[in-house]
This record gives sequence, C-alpha cells and structure tokens, in this order.
Amino acid sequence: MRHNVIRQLRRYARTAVLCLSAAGVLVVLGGATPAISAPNEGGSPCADCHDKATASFNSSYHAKAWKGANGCQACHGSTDQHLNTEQAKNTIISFSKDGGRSAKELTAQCLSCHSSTNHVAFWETSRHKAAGMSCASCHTGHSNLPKNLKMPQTELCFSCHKDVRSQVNRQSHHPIKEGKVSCTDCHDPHGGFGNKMIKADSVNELCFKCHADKRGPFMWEHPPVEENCMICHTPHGSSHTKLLSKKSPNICQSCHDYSFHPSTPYGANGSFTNGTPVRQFVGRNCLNCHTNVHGSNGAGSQGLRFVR
Amino acid sequence: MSRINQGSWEMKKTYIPLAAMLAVLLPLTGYAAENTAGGEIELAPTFANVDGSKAKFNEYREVEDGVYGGIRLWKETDDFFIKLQADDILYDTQNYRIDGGNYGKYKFNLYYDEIPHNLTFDARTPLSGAGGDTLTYTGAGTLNAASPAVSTWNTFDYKVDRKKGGGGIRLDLLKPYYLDVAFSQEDREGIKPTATSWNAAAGGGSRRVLEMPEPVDYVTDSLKAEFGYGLNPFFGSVSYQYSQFDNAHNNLYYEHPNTAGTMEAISLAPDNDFYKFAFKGKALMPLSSALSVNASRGVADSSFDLRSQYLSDIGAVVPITLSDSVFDGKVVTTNYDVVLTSSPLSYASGKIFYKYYEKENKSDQITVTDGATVFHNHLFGYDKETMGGEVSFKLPADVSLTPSYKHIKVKRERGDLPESKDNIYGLSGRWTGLEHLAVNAGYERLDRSADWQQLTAVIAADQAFTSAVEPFIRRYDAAPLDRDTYKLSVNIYPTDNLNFGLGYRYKKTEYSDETILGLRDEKSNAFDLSADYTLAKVTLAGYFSYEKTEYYQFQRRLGNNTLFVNPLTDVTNDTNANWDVNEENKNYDYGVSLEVKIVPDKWRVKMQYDYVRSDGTADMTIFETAAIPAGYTNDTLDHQAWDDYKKDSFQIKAIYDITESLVSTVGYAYEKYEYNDNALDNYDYKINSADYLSGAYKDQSYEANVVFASLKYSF
Repeated sequence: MRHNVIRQLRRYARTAVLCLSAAGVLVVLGGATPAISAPNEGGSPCADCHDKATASFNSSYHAKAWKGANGCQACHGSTDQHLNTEQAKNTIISFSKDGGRSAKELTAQCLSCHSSTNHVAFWETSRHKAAGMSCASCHTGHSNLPKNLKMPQTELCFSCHKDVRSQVNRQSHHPIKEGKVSCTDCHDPHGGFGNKMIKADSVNELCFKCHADKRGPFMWEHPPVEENCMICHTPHGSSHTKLLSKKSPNICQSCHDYSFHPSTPYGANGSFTNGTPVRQFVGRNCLNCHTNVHGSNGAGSQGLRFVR
Repeated sequence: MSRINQGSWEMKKTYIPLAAMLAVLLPLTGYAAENTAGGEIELAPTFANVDGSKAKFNEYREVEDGVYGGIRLWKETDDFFIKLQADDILYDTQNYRIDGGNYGKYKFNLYYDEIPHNLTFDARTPLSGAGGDTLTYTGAGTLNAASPAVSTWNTFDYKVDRKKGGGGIRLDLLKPYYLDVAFSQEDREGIKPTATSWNAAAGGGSRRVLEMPEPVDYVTDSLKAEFGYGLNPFFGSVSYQYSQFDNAHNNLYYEHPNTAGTMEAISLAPDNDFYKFAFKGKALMPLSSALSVNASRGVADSSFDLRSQYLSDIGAVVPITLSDSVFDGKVVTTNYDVVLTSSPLSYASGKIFYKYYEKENKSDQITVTDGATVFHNHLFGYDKETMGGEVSFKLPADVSLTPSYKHIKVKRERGDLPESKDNIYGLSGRWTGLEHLAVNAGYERLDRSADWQQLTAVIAADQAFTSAVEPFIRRYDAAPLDRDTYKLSVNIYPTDNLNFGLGYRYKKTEYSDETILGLRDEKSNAFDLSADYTLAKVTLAGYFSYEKTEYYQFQRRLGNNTLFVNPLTDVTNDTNANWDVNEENKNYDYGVSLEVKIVPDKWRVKMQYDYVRSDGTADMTIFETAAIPAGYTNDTLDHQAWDDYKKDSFQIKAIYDITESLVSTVGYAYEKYEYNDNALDNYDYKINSADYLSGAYKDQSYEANVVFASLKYSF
C-alpha cells in the first residue's frame, strides 16, 4: 500500500491539468491564434458534376489535414480521360465497390502517402489484407468522422463481424455498445504481430492493461489463468456472468473432478426454488468460497485453495 | 455520499450543466460570427422510470431524471487545430477530451473518462464497514442462525467506478522520425463481492459461506513512449511501456463469525509494476516482399507481506512457518516475431511466420510448514512457439484459394500436461465472379496432441488419491483434441442502396479418448443475416443472429479420498457414482431500424427495436440410483433455467431542425429485461442455518420507460 496522501495529490494534479487544459482551450478559442483560412474551395471541374462529393471532401478531416495540392487527382488519379472522353468510373481511380479497381491498387494509392507511419507499417501482416480488403473498405477520404471512417467504428466493425455484434448484445459484456470500449482498444485492424490482431504480445498482457489487479504475480497461481484468460472467459460478450465461456460450476468441474464437492453433481435439487439450496451451487457457487481464483497470496493451504 | 446529500447532488446535476454551457456559450457567440471557430452545445432533459434492478439497467451507464449536457468546440487555422468534447457532464459516464495540433507535425490530446460498473444495489451483510478493509460484527456474541435478522443487516451497493485521465503527444516535426508519448492514470473505487468459508463447530459437517463486500480502491499509472523512423523501404521503432498498479488495501480483514473479535484476512490484489521494452521493424524487399520483426521483453513484479497464521474453519488461530515472510513475485516475458510476406506474382502471394513467447517465473518459492504438513508454492511458466505459412492463389473465374498451416508447441511448467502440440490446417476461398456478390468459405482442422504425466500433489498426504484419479483427467485447456471449423459468408449488394449478408459457422471439438473425466465435447452452430435498404426518404435495416452451443462433460462423484475412482470398472454407490451433463445454450437476437425523412433536411423520425434471448439448459444424469438425491429423478434434476434471459428494447425519436443551427429531438425508449437462473431465482440471504450471502447478482430483472428530449445549438 502506498501513502494515501500521494494518491490524493495525484488526483488533485489530474484535476488541475484538466482545468488548465480547459482554460487553455477557451483562451485559444478566444482568438489567441491566427484566423482560419478557407477550406478547399475546389475550383476544380470535378465539382461541376460531383458537387456532393466535393462538398463532403471539403468538410472532411482529410481536407483539413492535407490542404489539397493537386486536388481530387491526388487520390483519384489523372482525370484527363474522365473529363475529355468517357465519364466511366474506371477512367479514374474510384474507391467505390463498382470502381473496378483491385484492393491492392486502392491500398497502394493510400499507402503512397501513409506507408511510413507506424499505424499502417505492418499492413502486410494484417488478416484484413489477406481477406482482400483495402483501406477503402473502412475509410473514405471524404469522411468527417474520426480516422476518416465510413461510419462510427463499432458499427463499421459489426457490419462484417456480425457474430461479435451478437455477442456484445449478451447480458455479460464489455461496455462496447455503451460506447466506453471500442474495438481498436484491443485490436489493431491494420495488422501487427498478436493473434487476432490484438495490440499485445499475448492475451494476458492485453487484458492486464485494464485489469492490472489480475497481474499478480501471485504466490499461489492458477495455471490456466496465468497462461491465457480466454481459457475461461470470452472477450466480447457471454450469456454467463463475468464473461465466462461456460457457466459455473460446470466450467470449474470441467477440470476439477476431485473428492467431495468438486465432483458432486449440482442439480436442480440444490436451488433456492426447491427449498434445499446447496451452498456450492446457489449464488456465485464455487466462488462462494474460492474467491481468489485469479491467484492468491493467502496464508498456507487457504491460499493454495484460493479461499483467502 | 449520504442519501440526504444525494438529493442536492441530483439538483446540481440538473443545473450545473446548464450553467456551465451558458458560461461557455456567451463568450463564444462573438467569435462564431467570424467563422474562426465552431461548436455545438446540447442539452438533453431526461425522465426515467425503472422498476426492478436499477443496477442492471444502468450496468455501464447512468440514465436517470436530469439534464444531460454535451459540448463540442473546435477551431482551426492554417497551422493549428484544437477540439474540445464533453459529454454527460457531471454524470457517472462523463467524459472530456481535448485534441489539438498541426496535421503532419504534431498532435496532442488530453482526456478524462468515467465508466461505472453497477452490479447490485442494496446488497446486505451482517458485518459493518462495507467499502473499507475491516469488517466487524457489532452485535452481541457471534453470528448464528437466528441473529441478526436479515432485515437488520447493513446495506451497500456492489459497484465499481472507473475514472481514467490521461493524455499524449505525437511529434512528427523531424520526419521521417517520430516520437509518441502517452500517459494515463486510472482510479477504480467501489465494492465487489468476495467470500470466505467457515464452520460453526469443529467437525461440524460442511463448511459455511460468508459472502462479503470487498473494497476496490485501485490506482493504475501508465506510460508509453515510442520513438521511430519510417521512410520506405524501412520502418523501425523502439518503445518503453510502464504500468504501476497500487491497491490501497492488500488484505480484507473480517471478524470470524464464530469468534467475536478475532480477525481473519483475505489477500487482495497485490501492488505490482510492469515494464516492457520493445522493438518493431520492417524492411521492404524485392519481389513485393516485406520482412517484419518484433522483439520485446517485459517484467512484472510484486511484493507481498505474508501472514504467518490463519484462522481455522471454526476460528481457532493456526500458526504457520514460512521460509520467507515476504513473497517477491517476478515474471519475465520474452517475445520474438518474424513475418515474411511476399506477392511476387500477380496471381500468388504468401506469408510465413515464426513467433516465440516465453513466460519465465522467477518468483520466490515459499515453503510453508503447517503443523506436520510441509509444502510449497509451484511456479507456473511456459514457452510457446508458433510457426506456419499460407499462400493465396488467384485462380480463373474470380476464385481465390488460400491453403494454410500452423504449428504450435507449448511447454508448461505444470504437472499434468507439460507439453502440447497443435497442427492446424486451413483452406479458405473467395469467389467474386458476379459483380455484386462475394462468397467466402473456409475450413480449419486442429489436431492437438499432449504429453501427460502423473501429477504430484502439492500436499503429500493427497498423493495416493491424486495418483488414482489423475489418469482419468485431461484438463481441457491443454488436453488432446480434434477440432473442425467451417465458415461461410455471402454478401450481396445488387444496388448501391441494398445490401444483404448471410453468415454461417460450425465448430466441433472432440477431446480424445484419454479424457474420461471432465469436458469431452463442444459444438456450436451459428448463423446470421443482415440487410439494409434505402429508398428515397426511407432507410430500413435489420439483423438476426442465432447461436447454439452444446457441451458434454462426464464426471464421477468421489467420496472422501476414495480409491474407487475408476469410472469404467470401480463400484458405484451413493457416494461414488458416475454422472454427466449436457449443457445447451441457445442465443438469438434480432433488430430492425427504420428512418423516415418526412421533410428532408427538416425533420425525420427514427425507430429501433432489438430483442435478445438466451435459453440455457443443463441436462444431468446420475448413473447410480442410490446417488440420486431423495425425491428426485434424472428427469427432475435438470436445470431448465440456466442463465435464461430476454431483453426487449424499443426507441423512437423525432428530430426536427428548427433552424440550420438549432436541432431539437423528442423521444421515448422502453427496455424490459427478464432474467432467470436456478442459482439465483427465489434468492435467500441465508442458504441454510448459517450461510450468509449478500445478494450479489440477485433479482436482475427490470422494466424501464425513458422520455427524453434534446436541443442542440451549432455555431
């Protein structure tokens, strides 16, 4: 335990930083910075036909971040043929589904500017690339959403990962649909080295980023806990409390068949409804006693059995 | 916060957002005219009525009577931008974020975010001191069956509030070099359930349960710094990551129910530190190839003062001797990745990879002497090697095929299954022969073998029983198995305004014949449908998902250290009997949404309905009549309520643009959640005469009606 005074000071410091930052924003908004310049007005012939597209681009993050040298042609390629002879989509680089360009071509167009950033440095390793996706599958240069996404992130991911959407709807879930956890908090859609494109070298390292209380290291360890949280939990959502992949006590008994209560069948006879509740079944069942299943520093055999 | 103060706090929640927004809005009105800045201010009065569990309804949110407020402000110049966003001001979900910088040169951010996690409100305990690390019994004498009455127990809420603040800065001023630094501090405060076992008298039969409130008062400080270089054909970065976890309470002390004034302790999460160095690099090579590497080393350590005594079940002090009174934990992780990708031909691309991950446990081994029994902790570590490759071929008729192979070898410092080997074969295909149709299909086969060895019991006296039963057990996390997985998805988008998707997944896992006791089979079938259609002023979307999972486990009830453990040949009787359970969980959910633009750019109506259902059963069979509980049969033993629930959600709202800069919304939401489970239905705080539960997860059903409105002003 560290000193409570230090904890309190930290909190004051954090509050002070936030207040000062907010004050800074107000000062800046109050005119301490130069006047804003006009957004890309175009002046390009594209707007004559594509007025909505040029308008959406001008209000996009892309337009703000990159002031548009070479205009639309920077991304869509030369427009000579498109303007002079044939207005078909395949006469420019179109990012629409029916644009006739391969994922590799579209991705190359984006990477011509973005390949050197750490965000997409490992795109070659991405499962999304292997699945035939391109940057345009998720992003559009005309978006005014964060990261130039086509739609809000969770909705975007669910449009393909429909099974995950269903899991997130279940009664035990990370606060994903509440908007407090996003897919990219754990996954890197642009690729990396973790399995399932997670942002860590192992599942446990990822989980411990938020659940540092489970990190230990403990004197009395529960080996599957130390190897992989996913042995007992499922990350997106479950019908079973605490995101368990299977309901307890069954999940515990899957491994622990031992004398006395670990091997006892806990049927409907042990429920409250039947009037003869069994302490190993009702409530939180196994956790009613074995409360420290993630590891314990408890005394002697009490710690060994995760009851202290 | 006391209940009295809570009332005035609710008032503040209503008026403070109003005052704050007015304070911000007034000085900004002048600047808005110059069009150098912009923003939005939104106020949303809300009226909520909840019958039933307010904790479950508001598990990760705070929807209640009040005025919710949000602010967004931004300003941009040629060489600077800054944005402020604040939502749910002063509520338990409040969040604030500031982003700023110069695109391509530097960026910074500061944020603060709160996430509540409400478990159960108005839980109860006969102990005093909920929320602290010392729980006492203040009544006369000791706890017993009659005293105190549950109605007199102290009440408290099981909830944990997470408050996280932090920031970061990224510098790209010296391209192609960059520096990225991020820091955060997270406070978690609240109460979660814990429990202990005890007994009323020496040899008094089964142990009793005492469920208690465990204090949560954590602070986690994190820092990550990354410096890198990125200019084709090379990318490289080095990073340092640090995390410090601080628990204000390292033990929970509680008064033993049997012995007033005698305190016992449950160990809580230890303070710990974690740091990690990492290098990542990539080199583009000829033949459209790239070599990517990753190397890291992390260290987690903790220190904990061990107790040299514990209380026995009946509350008697049991001294123990430890080889060291302080446990120093240290775990070192090492990771290497190498990935080579290549697309040398227009019709072929491939990837080969190798990964090594090691978790080395360098913690103290502590020897415990408890009377005549001497034992020590076992230190778990493992190393895992993964290697494999895949090749994708583009074939005629717009077909692509990708065969793949992966081999995983895990060596564990563990007694029963010290090594396992996975061979994973896969084949996936994609067909895009029609312009508006894409079909993906895949198959994967996993063959896992595992070496088994006789487990050495931690306590020597348990060895005879352990040696007898362990040959029949293969724990499913590392047991030998075969697994087949099939996937199919079809996406159809015949027009720009119509999309249709269909997916199916089947997975079957069969544990080998070596597994006699424990989990033996798993199977899941899942399919989903989704569609969306836009026609003029109407957008209609819907989805449906269904998943059925089945588990089969075979067990043997084993009497006190019996050696009649062989489920195939040994005698069965009332205390030694074979049994099994088939668990089945059916989940489905569907939803439809409709948006009608009644007057385009003026007013529109949105409706959404969602339904979620889970239906679980556990079909149990005891293969020895004498072991079936009196009054029951194998048919009446089954659990019909096994995490069963259904949830209806409906929302309708009308959005009206009063002017270009003023938007109003009026809406209504309804939510009904019904939960049934055999372990929680008809809950009682006392299981038997002297088992004390606290109500964790009790009565989760609710029904809620919410009326809301909002007014958003943009400038």
